[in-house]
Amino acid sequence: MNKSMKKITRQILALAALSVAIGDAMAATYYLRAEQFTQAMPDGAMVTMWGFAQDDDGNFATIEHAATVPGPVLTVPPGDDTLTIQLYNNLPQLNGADVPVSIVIPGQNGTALAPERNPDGRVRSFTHETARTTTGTYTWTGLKPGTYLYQSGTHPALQVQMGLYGAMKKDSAAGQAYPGVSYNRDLVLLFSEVDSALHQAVATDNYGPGKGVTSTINYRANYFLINGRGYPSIPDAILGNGAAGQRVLLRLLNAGYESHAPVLQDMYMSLVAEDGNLLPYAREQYSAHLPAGKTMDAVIDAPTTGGRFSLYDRRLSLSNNLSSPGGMLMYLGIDTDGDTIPDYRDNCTLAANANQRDTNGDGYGNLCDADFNGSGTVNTLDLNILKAAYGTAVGNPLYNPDVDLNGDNKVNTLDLSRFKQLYGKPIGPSCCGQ
Amino acid sequence: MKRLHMKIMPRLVAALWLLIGLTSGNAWAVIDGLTGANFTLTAKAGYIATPDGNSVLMWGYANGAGLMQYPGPTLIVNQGASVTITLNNTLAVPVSIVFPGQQGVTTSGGTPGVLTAEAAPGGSVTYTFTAARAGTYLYHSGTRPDLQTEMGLVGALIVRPTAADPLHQAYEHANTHFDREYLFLLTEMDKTVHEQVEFGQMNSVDMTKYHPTLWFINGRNGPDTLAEASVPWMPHQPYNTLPRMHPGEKLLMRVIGAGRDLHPFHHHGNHALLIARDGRLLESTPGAGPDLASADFTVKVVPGETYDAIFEWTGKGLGWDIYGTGPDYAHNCTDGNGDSFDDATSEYCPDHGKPLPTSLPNQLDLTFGGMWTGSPYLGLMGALPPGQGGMNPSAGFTYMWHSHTEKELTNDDLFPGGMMSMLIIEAPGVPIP
Repeated sequence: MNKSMKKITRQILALAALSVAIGDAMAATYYLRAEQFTQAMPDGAMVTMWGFAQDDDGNFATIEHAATVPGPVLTVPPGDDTLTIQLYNNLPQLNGADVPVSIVIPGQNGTALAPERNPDGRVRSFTHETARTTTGTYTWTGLKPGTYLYQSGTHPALQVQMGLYGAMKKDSAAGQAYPGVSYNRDLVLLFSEVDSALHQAVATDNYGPGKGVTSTINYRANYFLINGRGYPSIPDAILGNGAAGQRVLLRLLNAGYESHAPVLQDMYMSLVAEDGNLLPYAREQYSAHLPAGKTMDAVIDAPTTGGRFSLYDRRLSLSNNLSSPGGMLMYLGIDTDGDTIPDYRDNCTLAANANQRDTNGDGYGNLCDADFNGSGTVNTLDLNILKAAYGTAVGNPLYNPDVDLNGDNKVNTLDLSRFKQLYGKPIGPSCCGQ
Repeated sequence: MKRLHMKIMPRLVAALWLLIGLTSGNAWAVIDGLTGANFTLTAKAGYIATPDGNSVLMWGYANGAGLMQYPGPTLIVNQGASVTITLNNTLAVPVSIVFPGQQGVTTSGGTPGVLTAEAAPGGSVTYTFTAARAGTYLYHSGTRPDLQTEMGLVGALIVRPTAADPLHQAYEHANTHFDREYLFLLTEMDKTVHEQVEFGQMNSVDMTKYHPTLWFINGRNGPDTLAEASVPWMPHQPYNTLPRMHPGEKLLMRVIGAGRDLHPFHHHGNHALLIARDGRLLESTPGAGPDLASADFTVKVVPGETYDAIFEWTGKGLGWDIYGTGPDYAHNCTDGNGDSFDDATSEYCPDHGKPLPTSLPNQLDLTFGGMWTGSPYLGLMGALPPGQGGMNPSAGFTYMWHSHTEKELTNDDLFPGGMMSMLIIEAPGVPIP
């Protein structure tokens, strides 16, 4: 199945509100390139990482997506029961030697797992390796639905913490994570850590036998990440548009080496699955114990009103290399107007204004703020202010950005009709609808 | 069970307990704390005592104008109550409170913070929520919680259910009945952090180097856990941990992971039935009661989580008669209701009359610990040489309840201590506050 077919299939799946009869089993294919790059930590420090870059067409010469840590979320459509990853090894040499790499998915059935050994007989890789500058093929059959980690199976003590991991997900049916577990939207929250000193040792050929750092035994993380970011640079998670009955699936994964305990503030979740296995009964908790290598799925009944909800690691990994607050802490909220700004910090909650334009700086976006004189009401005085600038555009001395409600650099009939919608209404971010 | 000795014994024991002042001032209020719906807490600094002879700077929540205490006051509220907590801050840093498991918490006053509204130094903030669901919860600082919970800004919150007898029922369902309840709020400490704060090096605190050497239950290290509550020599650590029960009773363990490390809390003596986690019954459907409860002998205490477990002890399965055998120990096991236990003493009747499967050595061959009463049998004293015994005045059976991470049974590398307490099985009739 080629990529364009796959895209079409996804679109069909996305469009279908009800489950789609997929027909015969199909196979999903992804192309990943393992490579070294630098990633900015939340405090701006640049850290050398090893990560997976997604390649759309499989030629590996040009990469369509930059390498990231974690790697791309690999989505397998419900009807596919085989996953193939073509892996190209573009990792640099370490201490003058090539670094082989591979991919395993704990919990899925990899075909022909062939461990590779060092000359002394010790297992080095859980499955066949891909040598530097070559492409290897990894295939899993009989795919189970659920949330899984994919990660390097080669020298994982080093390679996984260097960043060679990501999330893989497959639903049992469209909109249904597991039989009986339906959801409206899902959020992948992948926890991991970085020990920047260890990464620095790898980057400077100072890692290995006889080197400054001989192993990962003294691993001590100093960056604590969710989806590769730390507070305050973790994007807010959107829990839907506030409509009643919305269910959000949290896919919690831990690719780090430490245990974490994500806690929801002001909210409970139903833990429904662990390691890709449906629990016989959901567990209602505000917390989840997420040890290394664990995946858990939880369902939230999304709130219907605005407000800021927090999720943070109760093992209190809440710093970015000594600077606090930071680490594994993020916010969640609903986004009524669908502009990707959650209501709790949206200056127009009912009118989509992703740019948050607020020229008079009163905390209310122009799109929902016709109280030009700040009197607390929208009345004829405000209309007079608009009239004074009517027909002007940027550059005209009479142009008034405050009355340019839609922000098109002109004060015209569009602004006037918007003004009519706001006229006489209570002021504030939730003023007046679309 | 009919035996003169057993009838006299309790009275003797009661007198003894009174004599040596071991009974708590709060009769029947086993979990010490503040009841009501409106509380004023004050964040302040103070020093706690550790059994290694040190004192450690702490930040804690005080009750109103009271002393800094570790942990903060246990807040005991009724289900459905509108709870208001005003926090005054006497510290030099902003502080706050979050209430995991409470929903719809609103704030007034204070300044915006990362997790909730904060009280600035010298300022205050008020939190309000409806205690909608019964259960065991915790509260702690939401301001730089990695540092501030370590410094001591943690406490327990208990919501008593809407029930006919809310003092003996954990949740709204009747199958959560208990006879006695005890709190186990588990924390740990890296003293380096406290020293850095004390010496004005707060910004040098590196929690990634966190290396605890002290472990606490209810703010005390073993063996201080066993001392009486509110003793004058530990003014900042008012809460003790000394669970006591009679055979056949149900003891509710309210266990809270208030620190940042996982602790396997191991309760010797019997398995316990875990009935709730995070203030939610383990039930298959709402209203079913704890039908998904499962037994274990080690509560896996994840930081931030809470657990309710029901522990029972009868001596069943020991394979010998805990009240003794032979003419000197004549007693009956009367099982009228067919549950295999004596209707009054909860003695396990199938083991009635089975001898202790060992021969007691001659006294001249023994050295004595203070807990040995001269008798292996529950509630009974035996002959002891002059000056021996005395630590176990009611001749109870003692089981260590402790972290199963055994290194946590130390105080700064000195054994025994740390996250350790003792359960005492008291003979029927021995008064337990």
